[in-house]
Amino acid sequence: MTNLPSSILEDIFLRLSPKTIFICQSVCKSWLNLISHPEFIKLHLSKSHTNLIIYNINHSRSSLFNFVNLENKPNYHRLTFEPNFHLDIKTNFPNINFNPVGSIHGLVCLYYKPLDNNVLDIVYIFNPTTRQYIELPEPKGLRNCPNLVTYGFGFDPMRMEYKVIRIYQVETHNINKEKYYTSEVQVYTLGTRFWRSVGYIKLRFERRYSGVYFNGKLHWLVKDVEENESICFIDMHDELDEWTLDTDEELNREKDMTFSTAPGFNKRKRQNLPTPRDRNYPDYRSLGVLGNYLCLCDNNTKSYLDIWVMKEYGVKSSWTKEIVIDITPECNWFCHTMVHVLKVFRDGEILFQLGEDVLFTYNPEKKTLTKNEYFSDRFWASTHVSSLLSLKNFGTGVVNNF
Amino acid sequence: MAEASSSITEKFFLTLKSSDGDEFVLEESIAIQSITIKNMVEDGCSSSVIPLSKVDTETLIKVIEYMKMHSSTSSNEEEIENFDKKFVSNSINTILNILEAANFLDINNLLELCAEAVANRIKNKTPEAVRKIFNITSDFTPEEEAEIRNETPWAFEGNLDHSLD
Repeated sequence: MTNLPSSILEDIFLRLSPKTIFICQSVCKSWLNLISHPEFIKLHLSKSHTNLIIYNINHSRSSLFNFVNLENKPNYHRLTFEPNFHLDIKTNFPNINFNPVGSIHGLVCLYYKPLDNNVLDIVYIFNPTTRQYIELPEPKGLRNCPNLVTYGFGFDPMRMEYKVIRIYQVETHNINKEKYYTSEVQVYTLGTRFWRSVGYIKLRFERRYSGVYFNGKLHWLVKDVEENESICFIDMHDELDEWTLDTDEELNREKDMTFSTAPGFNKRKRQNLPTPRDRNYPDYRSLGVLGNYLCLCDNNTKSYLDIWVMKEYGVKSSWTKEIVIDITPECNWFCHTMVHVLKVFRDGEILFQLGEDVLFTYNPEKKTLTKNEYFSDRFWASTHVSSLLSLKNFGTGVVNNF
Repeated sequence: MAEASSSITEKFFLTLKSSDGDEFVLEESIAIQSITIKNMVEDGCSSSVIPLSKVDTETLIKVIEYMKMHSSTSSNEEEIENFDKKFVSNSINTILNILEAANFLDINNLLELCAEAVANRIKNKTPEAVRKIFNITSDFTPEEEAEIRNETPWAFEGNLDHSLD
């Protein structure tokens, strides 16, 4: 014994928990080679069930990550909080709070925003399955007021590269002394040593939420100089390569990398607005992915939550109001909060996150809302798969364990 | 070949020969759950004894038991479920032998059943226990092994199972 062919060994390994897989890696050289082989890692990823990763915003008081198991059957779904599966990194980071960027193929991107504006952000990539994390090289551009920073985490399926996008927004004035933002697009490709600056655009990015990865591109809701809303996209393969960095004459640059937002946006007059988040002009619109479509959740009215779906990617006329959730008086917990789509289950129900503290599901057929309360603290949720990919494969810096 | 086409109602039988030389007569309709045997029948190589040089007698008995239960129209779902449960409680060495045979004979649901059983049985076992079960000698130097463990030290923490079954 044993003459089990590698296909059978793989079949067995695919049924194991990460813990046992890593134990098996230390059994012998041929098993190590089999398990750490890129093809096996890809196969394991493709078989990995989608669950929810919960990032606890106040993790100094609890664990950094928790998981909610999602059972997704044709006729029913079930959410199971996994209280025993928490990942604590307090020893590594006793006092700092992270901000979430995104989770792709089992890798989670977070950044640390220092309180001191003269200190740069630190961006991290975590793999909660291997319990490894790396710190990315220092980005350029301090976050001191009124400058803004927005992130996104995406994947280039052609080059098989993971990329963190950092939008560094600097407040500028035109000749009429009107304020607007010039945003520098910075790219970091996992495995390289530096951030690259790939271009500038005159768009203001929603700073509270990170880019939405869909169709090989990252998407953000943006405002142009006139405060019109549109959707900006950055292709993870091309980035902004066709742009030249030093010309100001390219007037259509903003047009080339945006498309029309969903209807229903109320433009606000900047002149009347002392602060961008004036309470009279609610802005609870968020981008997301609903099944196979880019979508926009609009929670700006008191009585309805509208979910718009872009049936044909990039085509303005294809925006369709797919779902309208009636906000009854007893659902007043719903109003004036940002809503994010997390997942559409096979039974048709849709899982959302409301604000930073509630998960809820909506049944479009029965028109019922179900609240799921697991957490007392603020959190950020994202769909997540488990990946065996070692961060050592990006081999440029120190890989830490937690 | 003359008998083979004599009557439609007649049952056809195949003779399977284990690596130990023991012969087992089995209804063709049961035996062709094995894709390997099915292909042999279709290619016309089944008129005499089918030699299964990679399957020993003990394992072949188990495989035939499994195929009989899973092909019988009289056994209901509950019966099959109970049979499978009992089947996977065989010793892990037996399961590994069956797994190898199922791979050779190409019986997909038996393969799945055994792969799942093996995965359940090696859960949280020490590397030493896994090696003994699979009869593997480590070819790592102590330094190499320490390095691999160091990549995911948490996986080796907690109470690991030393038992061999």
